[in-house]
Amino acid sequence: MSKIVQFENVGLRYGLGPEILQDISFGLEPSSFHFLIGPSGAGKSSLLKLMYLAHRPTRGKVSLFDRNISTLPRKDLPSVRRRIGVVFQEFRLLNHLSAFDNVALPLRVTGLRGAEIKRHVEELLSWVGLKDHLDSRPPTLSGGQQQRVAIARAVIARPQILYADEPTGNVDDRIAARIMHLFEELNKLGTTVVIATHNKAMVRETGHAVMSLEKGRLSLQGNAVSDASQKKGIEVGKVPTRQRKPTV
Amino acid sequence: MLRQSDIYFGQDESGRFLPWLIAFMVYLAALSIAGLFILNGLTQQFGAGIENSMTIQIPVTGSPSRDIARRTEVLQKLQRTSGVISSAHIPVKRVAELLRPWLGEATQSDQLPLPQVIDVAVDRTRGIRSDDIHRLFEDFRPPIVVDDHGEWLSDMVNALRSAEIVAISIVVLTGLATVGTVIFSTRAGLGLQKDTIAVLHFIGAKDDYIARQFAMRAAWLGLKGGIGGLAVALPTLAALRFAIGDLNFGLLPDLNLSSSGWISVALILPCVAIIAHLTARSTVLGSLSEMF
Ligand SMILES: Nc1ncnc2c1ncn2[C@@H]1O[C@H](COP(=O)(O)OP(=O)(O)OP(=O)(O)O)[C@@H](O)[C@H]1O
Ligand SMILES: [Mg+2]
Repeated sequence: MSKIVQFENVGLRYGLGPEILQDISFGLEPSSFHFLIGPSGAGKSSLLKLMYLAHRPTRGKVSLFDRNISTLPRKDLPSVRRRIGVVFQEFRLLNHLSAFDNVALPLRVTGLRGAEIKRHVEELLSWVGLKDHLDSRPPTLSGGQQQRVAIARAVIARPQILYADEPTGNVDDRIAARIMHLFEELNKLGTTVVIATHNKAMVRETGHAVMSLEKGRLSLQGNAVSDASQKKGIEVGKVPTRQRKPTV
Repeated sequence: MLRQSDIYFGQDESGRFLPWLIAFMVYLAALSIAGLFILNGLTQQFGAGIENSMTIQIPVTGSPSRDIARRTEVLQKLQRTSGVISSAHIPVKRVAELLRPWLGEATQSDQLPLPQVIDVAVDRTRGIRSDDIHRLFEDFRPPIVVDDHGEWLSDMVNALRSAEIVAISIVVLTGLATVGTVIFSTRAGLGLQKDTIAVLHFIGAKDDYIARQFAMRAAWLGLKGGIGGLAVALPTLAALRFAIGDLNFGLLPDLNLSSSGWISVALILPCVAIIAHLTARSTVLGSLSEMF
């Protein structure tokens, strides 16, 4: 099966600065679930940025859905990005729009309008426990509530890949567990999930595949609980993850 | 109802200054366009008829029979002259009427010897000039007088045409200035909205989707400015018209703005909105095309 995300000897530098990602190579299977761990400043967010088309690599090759993003024509970017959902580390909600409108945005940019959007968005916001905050603007919501709006926005359009950057950083353990549960559910429905986090306990508990970044290098690959796979240096994507038939 | 824009323009200063600048441009353009229509009307009124005619005055000799003979000779010779389309004697009564505004009731009396007047329609494309006609009747004593309205009228018309060119230039310049202002403020807006634009891109918005929001806003600001500009321009035009009408020149042709003139002035409004819309759209598309 071909990889949904593929990195080959990728390097990234910001402007003329040092290379903050070096020689990154890995592949992700469709419908897999991965954690991306590493100390602050290791380059987790930067690696995600390459994966959600915020940057082009300075060297090497990044492929998404079997397409080389360095040679992807600009007009094709939106259609690729629509297959990707992102929960940003700092949420990046649009503060002048209501929670409802923020979550509706990925549907609206595809040209959808009206009643169908309304039903979908209200359903999803209820599901993340924000039924009573449809009209609230992000600045009036708590950090945890904003995070759930951001998560709802990332998943509303049923992306094939979901990236979440520190999605449990601002919430208590109970909500963190709920968010993790949501991601698990989406993964069961066929979504490839990549979560960048500091939360080692969460990584240990769930037993998903782990990519570890250290000073810009992917130093540890494999399943955090499977020592065998670490020793063999198995590519992340080849680690057996729960394979489920992707549903639409 | 219009849904709120995805982009928050609240902190964008251009929302305040752009309508004022556009209002000023629209004001200038409205006056220029109105002026253009009035000038054009004048040119046409002057040009029509008189431009292709001359008048010949045959001074009276004191002997009515000689006067008639001279008049007949003139008419006959004119008929054979190439470039002359037609010629006609204007009855003395009519001449008196035409002169009454200047001479008053004196024209009624026989004391004042009125010349015989012949109206000549000419085809200037055949190169006929007042001198040619004058030369035909060189031996007349007292000599005839040939008035060529076309000559001084063509000077007049040329002056009017120059004024029209100035008016057109002002309209073009205000249009260019509007385009420049919209480009400038849209660029500034793009800078302010960098984060929102990035988010819209990440969730899969096409450049066109983003450009449309800037374009709608620019059109709205343009419309606001346009309404403001016209709101001042229309009373100005009405006041000018009133002032000129009050002067009551018998001599001056109609100075009123035609209905097509009023319509053209009103059309500035949709034009400015469309110009702002298209300019903002292409500015945004141009800037975004350089991004990843
Ligand atoms: N836009 C940028 N311009 C320049 N340098 C940057 C930029 N973004 C990140 N960096 C640098 O790249 C390195 C990696 O940053 P990154 O945000 O990817 O780390 P991280 O692993 O996500 O950290 P954290 O856990 O604190 O979120 C850091 O040294 C950072 O200073
Ligand atoms: Mg980070």
